[in-house]
Amino acid sequence: MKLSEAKIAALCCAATIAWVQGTAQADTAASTGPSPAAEAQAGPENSLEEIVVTGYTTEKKKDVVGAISLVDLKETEDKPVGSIMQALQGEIPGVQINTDGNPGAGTSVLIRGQGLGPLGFNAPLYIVDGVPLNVNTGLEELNPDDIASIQVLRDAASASIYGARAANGVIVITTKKGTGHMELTVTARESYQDYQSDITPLNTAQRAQVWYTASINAGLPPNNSLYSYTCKSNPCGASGYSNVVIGGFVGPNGQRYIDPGLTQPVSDTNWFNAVTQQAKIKETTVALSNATDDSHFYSSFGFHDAQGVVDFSEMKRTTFRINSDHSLYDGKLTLGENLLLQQELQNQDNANAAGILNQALETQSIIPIYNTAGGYGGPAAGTTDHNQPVYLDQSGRYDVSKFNKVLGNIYGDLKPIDGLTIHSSVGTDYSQQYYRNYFPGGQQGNVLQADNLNTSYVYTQSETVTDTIDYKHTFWTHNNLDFLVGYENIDYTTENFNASGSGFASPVQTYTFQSEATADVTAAGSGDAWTLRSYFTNLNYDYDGKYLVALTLRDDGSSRFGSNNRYGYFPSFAAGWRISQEDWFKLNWVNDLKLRVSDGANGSQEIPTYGGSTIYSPQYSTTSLFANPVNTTTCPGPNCQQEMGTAYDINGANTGTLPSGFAKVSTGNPNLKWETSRQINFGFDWLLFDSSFDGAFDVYSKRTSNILTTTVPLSVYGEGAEQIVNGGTVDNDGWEFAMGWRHNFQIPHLQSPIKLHLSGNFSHAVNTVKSLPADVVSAYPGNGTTQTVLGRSINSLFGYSSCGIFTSAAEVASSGQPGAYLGGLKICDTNHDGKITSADQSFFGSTDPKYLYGFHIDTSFQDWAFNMFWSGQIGGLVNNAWANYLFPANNTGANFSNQLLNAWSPTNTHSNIPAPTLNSVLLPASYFYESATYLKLRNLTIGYTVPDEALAKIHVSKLRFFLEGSNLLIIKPHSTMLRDPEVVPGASFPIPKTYTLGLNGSF
Amino acid sequence: MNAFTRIRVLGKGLVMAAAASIVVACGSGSLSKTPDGYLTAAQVETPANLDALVIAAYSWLGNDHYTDPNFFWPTGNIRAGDAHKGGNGPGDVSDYDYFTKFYTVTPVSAGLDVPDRYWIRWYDGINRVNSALTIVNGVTTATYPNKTTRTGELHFLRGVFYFWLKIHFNQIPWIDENTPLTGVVSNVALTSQQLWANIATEFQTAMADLPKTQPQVGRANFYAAEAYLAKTLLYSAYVQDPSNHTVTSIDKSMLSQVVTLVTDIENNGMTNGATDGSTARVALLPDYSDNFDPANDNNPESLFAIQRSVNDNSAPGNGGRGTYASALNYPVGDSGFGCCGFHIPSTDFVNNFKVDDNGLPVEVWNGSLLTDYTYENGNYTTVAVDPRLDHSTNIHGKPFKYCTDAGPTCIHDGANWARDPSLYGSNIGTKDLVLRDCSCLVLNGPFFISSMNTVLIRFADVELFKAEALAQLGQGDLGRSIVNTLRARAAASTAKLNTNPFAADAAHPNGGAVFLYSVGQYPASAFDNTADAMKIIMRERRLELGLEGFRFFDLVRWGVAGATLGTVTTPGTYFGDEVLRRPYLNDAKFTPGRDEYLPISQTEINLSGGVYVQNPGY
Repeated sequence: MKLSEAKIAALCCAATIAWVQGTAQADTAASTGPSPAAEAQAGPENSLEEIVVTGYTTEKKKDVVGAISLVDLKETEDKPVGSIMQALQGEIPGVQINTDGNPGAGTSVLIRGQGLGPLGFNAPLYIVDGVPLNVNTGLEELNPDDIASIQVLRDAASASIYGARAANGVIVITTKKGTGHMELTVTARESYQDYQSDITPLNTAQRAQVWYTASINAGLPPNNSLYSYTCKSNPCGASGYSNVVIGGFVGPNGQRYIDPGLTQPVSDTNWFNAVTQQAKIKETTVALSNATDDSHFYSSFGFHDAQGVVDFSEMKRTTFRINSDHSLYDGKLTLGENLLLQQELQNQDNANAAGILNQALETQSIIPIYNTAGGYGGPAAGTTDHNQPVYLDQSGRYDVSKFNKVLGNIYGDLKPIDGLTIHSSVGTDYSQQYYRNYFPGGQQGNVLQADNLNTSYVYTQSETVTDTIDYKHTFWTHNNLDFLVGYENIDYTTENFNASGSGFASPVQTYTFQSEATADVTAAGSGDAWTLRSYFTNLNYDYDGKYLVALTLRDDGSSRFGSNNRYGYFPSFAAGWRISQEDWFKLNWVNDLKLRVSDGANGSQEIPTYGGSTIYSPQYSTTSLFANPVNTTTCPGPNCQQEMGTAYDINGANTGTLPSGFAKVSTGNPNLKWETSRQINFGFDWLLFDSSFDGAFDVYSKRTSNILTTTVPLSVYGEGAEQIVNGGTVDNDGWEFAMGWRHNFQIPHLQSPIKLHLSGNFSHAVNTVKSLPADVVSAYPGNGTTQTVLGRSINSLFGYSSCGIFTSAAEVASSGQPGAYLGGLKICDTNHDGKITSADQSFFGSTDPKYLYGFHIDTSFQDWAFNMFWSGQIGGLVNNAWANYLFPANNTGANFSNQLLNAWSPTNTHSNIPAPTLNSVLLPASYFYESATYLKLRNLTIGYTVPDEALAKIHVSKLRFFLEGSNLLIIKPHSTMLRDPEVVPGASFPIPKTYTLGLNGSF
Repeated sequence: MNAFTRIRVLGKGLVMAAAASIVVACGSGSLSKTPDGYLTAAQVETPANLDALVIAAYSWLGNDHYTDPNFFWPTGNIRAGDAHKGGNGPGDVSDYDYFTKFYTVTPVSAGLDVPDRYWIRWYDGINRVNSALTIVNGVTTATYPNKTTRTGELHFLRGVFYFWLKIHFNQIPWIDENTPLTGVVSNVALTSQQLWANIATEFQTAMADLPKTQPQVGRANFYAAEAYLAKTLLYSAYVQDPSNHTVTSIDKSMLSQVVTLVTDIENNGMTNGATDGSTARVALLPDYSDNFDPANDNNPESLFAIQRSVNDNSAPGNGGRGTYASALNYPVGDSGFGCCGFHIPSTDFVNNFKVDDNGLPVEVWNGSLLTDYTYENGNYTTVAVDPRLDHSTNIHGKPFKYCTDAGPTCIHDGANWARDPSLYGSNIGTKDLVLRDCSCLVLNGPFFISSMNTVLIRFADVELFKAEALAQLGQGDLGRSIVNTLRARAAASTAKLNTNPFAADAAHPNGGAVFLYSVGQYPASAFDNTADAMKIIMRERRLELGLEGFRFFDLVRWGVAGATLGTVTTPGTYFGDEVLRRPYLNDAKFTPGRDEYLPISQTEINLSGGVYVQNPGY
């Protein structure tokens, strides 16, 4: 099949297109004739002929008029990632991908700036083989080895064909199709991970030392049930102590304990080491594929087993895929399917890994892992009453949650006449999740806890029906027309229930089922449903490949809006001019030069399905008191906090079923309508110097208006007063630049050249809040009146700024700062009124990166390849939650950072670590943020491809070995405390260093 | 239909026709959906649901938590110097540390969210009342036979929520069922006295609508509303200067009404559940301790209480709708409980119960003049105390809450029962706690939760309102007989206390004898002028109602909070004396004119666009 035919045949269904693409690449490879190994190293040489999925149809890259990135999967194939999106960090211009080191982690993806931040919905739309995914948290359910291509549609005109949910960009995935001859491919990787924490907690003796200083600085006597000091002065003071006895309780043999029961001897536990391991990841994919004249199939079995760096934490994923298609009646009818079956198992230690690691830093080393009575060591007077990490780790290891998914579609293409294709597809994204967590409770230190089993089950299902009619025709020789009309309907339903119980006679996993609970059995459940229906048309026209025009119109209906505003209408327009094709264009070093401009609108309907109605819920069954947000807006749903219940013991019965009423959950807004974002894009693509230098530059301006957001009403209006409204305008503007350069260096006396490929991307985005309704803007950083987030980024940070350390008593006395003390943090008197009041708060930055960039240095020589990938961020601030460990007053019973050993004191005046104190003092917010600028060596790969001659004897068509390292090196400003500014500490699982050995073979 | 729309319709038709022609389905969902799993306003706002809406309003009384308890141990006891925060050092619920020291309790301090939570929650309660009233007002008595009674209950509940807001925040926005739910109502639109008048009106309306007794014990009746009206008028009688909270005048006509209202309760008061007027009279219980016995919920002395329940399947953790307000307050260590050692009565509070040879409170009791009443000082058998000490506070060496087994989980084992004894000592406030083996107690997570009611207003309290009003008015015996009645009851309330576990051990510091209790009667000469009578009544309230959550508000009402709490450098004040025993108080300081009231949430001020005015001094 020739390329032109491929293009004409490629219709509507992305799956079909994937097959076409595979064929096209094979043809390209055949025509240019590099060995498969070389092709694998270098990728396609001429990107102009690549096929791009631009919606329900495809185009060659040279004809594309939008801002579309085609990901080079060769760059990512060796990475031992659970989710393909993790592998794409830094790879795509203008795309910010955040993830963490948890083996089962999702990813958050931002295309072109920060979107709406916390105001609204920011995730892109994922389309897999033509089926939109329900959950927009990444693609962790796909086996990365099954993916044939990934394209990122960034501008409005490209994305608009998927309009209804495309406002944040679209990521289009196509999975592999059978190609060539019968082939068995095996890919195997084995990885090891190591992680170091950002801070080092104090050991037992060091904590006694810091405790003394913190007590004296607070004017408190330092002695307590953990430490008794022999002080040099009476009362104890700044002159220090000559001796400290650790452990307030003494046993018969003189041994010191921390509990009056003498079961917890004074210890020096390294909790971090006690709960971490060197983790191992094993991955194997076995794929079988074949293609004949009228049938193609690809099937694969993948197994991914990833331990985490927390002891026992593990995620296992099994995937099975089968994609096939068959053509009948001379290719006039094609029938096919794509199907993924997937199961993911994750234990509670994996789910709670970040919590266990935090606990390992927080728990004092004085607590023993085990007590002398055969149980676990635990809280005692003077320590926090949190569960200790080893206990948490042990109690979560056997609780395995299961996530199952079926994703796929069946489709048919009918081509009754030349150029006309009628396409229909029915797809589904169905998932089930079973969750269990048994917490054994019992006595741990001086805390007694009840046991508890939580189980839940949820399914989500969406059915997507897509029908398109596409007509392609060339008339009057140079006028190429592609006209498409389509219809799409998505029905989504979900239902969940959960139960909890306690009082189990035995804690073993084979016994703890809800029926065995003897106390406190509760059940709850909920459901949701929505429908999205769209009509669309798309016209692509070009004159002789020189002048290109694309027009899309769509009409989207959503059940989430009231009947008056149910449909939104979204047009887009794009045009391109390939100047290099003009007769007058005479620069022969320019192989291709194209100017592009596009303008389009997309909609968003991402609000809860109840937004239009005032709704109530009986809150008889509420969640436990540990769900404890300050503001009802952070917990808007029903069955929320226990303190928001509606039941009351009006009869004074003290127990039994209670009468219950209803609580208002939210106030309806019958006038809700589509949020709209309009984006203008201008770009150009070039290919220069014998096609060795390629690149693209895009500049865009995106304005989102009628933002769907939730008001934050005054609390005096009570629960459920919040309302979803259309209000406000946010701009995201920026530019993106991508380029690549290839060169083969012929070195004298060497037969083969050294091949070099440099490629990189650089992008910049600015977020600006232009307007917000009054009852929304006050909920965002600022003081509600003179200083607001308007004109700034939605992710702006507001608060007190840090102005160094108080270094003299005179400075303290004149500061006018509540709680000021020598060695403490000084807050900037921004209004210079001689005192610190709320008027001194100001905007001190934002978490937005200023620039994102990434670059590859890929070289190959003969059968060896050496690749490096660096990426990073310039600008922006990251929250450093570890700084809390510098302030003993924040959690007096916790362990602290060993940086406090070098804290400021009258004799150590060069330190920038504030002197510890047990008094709660006002802390400047800016102190908890630091620069997020970094450059990271994300990947380093050495690959060796076994030469064809060697393979021929053993009936192997291709064999490649590789050694890969991830996150090996991070370069960052010296002042930064975080080892890895990419991961927000405390809230997420750190990213470990990973070393991988792998092989890839075809038979 | 314009041309453009026509094209759209035509386009849709074409696509649908074409799609139909190639068989494939079009999807079955309708674009017209109601939200799953919720009720709409039309479904809820029906006469059949009216009783449920009233229950929802009641339920907000018990919608509390240990960080915003409706039993006011943090704001009423800790701030009054009756108790230390306790727990695991200053950082453990640090807001309570701020309350203790009145320290950086300013909007400047980041993370001071307990006041904000109170504000949010009580207005949530008010809005449940408002929603219910809106609907109840719209139906006839024929449709809803309980209309009048329930209307009265709703006004009562709204009065209670506003009363709480008023004593905590002073200047608050008034939102009722007629307030449009848009725009901003300023917190200074009404003066302090106008706000009091509105709250009084709520209780007067309630009295007009409520029956004398209700069949369901949890509901407000006429006398509950009357008691709250008396309380409201008593508070509002002390007129404050809005700029510095000093008491500028005392409204005697309001005090006269207090006397009239309380007298009516004395003569006619009924509790709920009465089938006829004769059986369920409001009265003092014979033994003081019965007020703090979980078996005695809804007793004749309890005029209105938050009904608590456990094992009611309302939440994961069988604590249900129990006493989460007290979840932190059980002792730790070897006590048999596990969490969390908060609400530690102060030494000042304990010493307060020492009596002289006549059984009358020692006039000057601060530590600089008298030896502390402690286990170590061995004075339990040599120094007499008012027995209400042991009813409210469990101290080292004494039995926990009337336990009788004298075992290791019964006799307070000092520091071994405490969370951070070096900082806060080891006393335990017991009025809100129950015994470990009570069937009313459950373990929820690490927390102990019981079904014991939280009494909001009890008859002894109301009687002291009257005594105070009489004293201020200079009428009758200036409240002497009321005070003496309560003291006589206290004197007779030692049956559950006279068990000295060390009685047989003559060598023990507190051994060889019974604990000494004494409560004497005040002679007429003690009540011969308003100033002396008030001094005694103020003290008697601390003895009778100690640790019940209202002491700080008493101090503010009387205008003596600053003088009582003082500073760490003023001997004779709470801080001046207590800091000698509890050095952690070294930076505590009450700032008169500011600390009488909590700050208005800066978040809310921001949300109001600056319409809300911050309380003075913050």
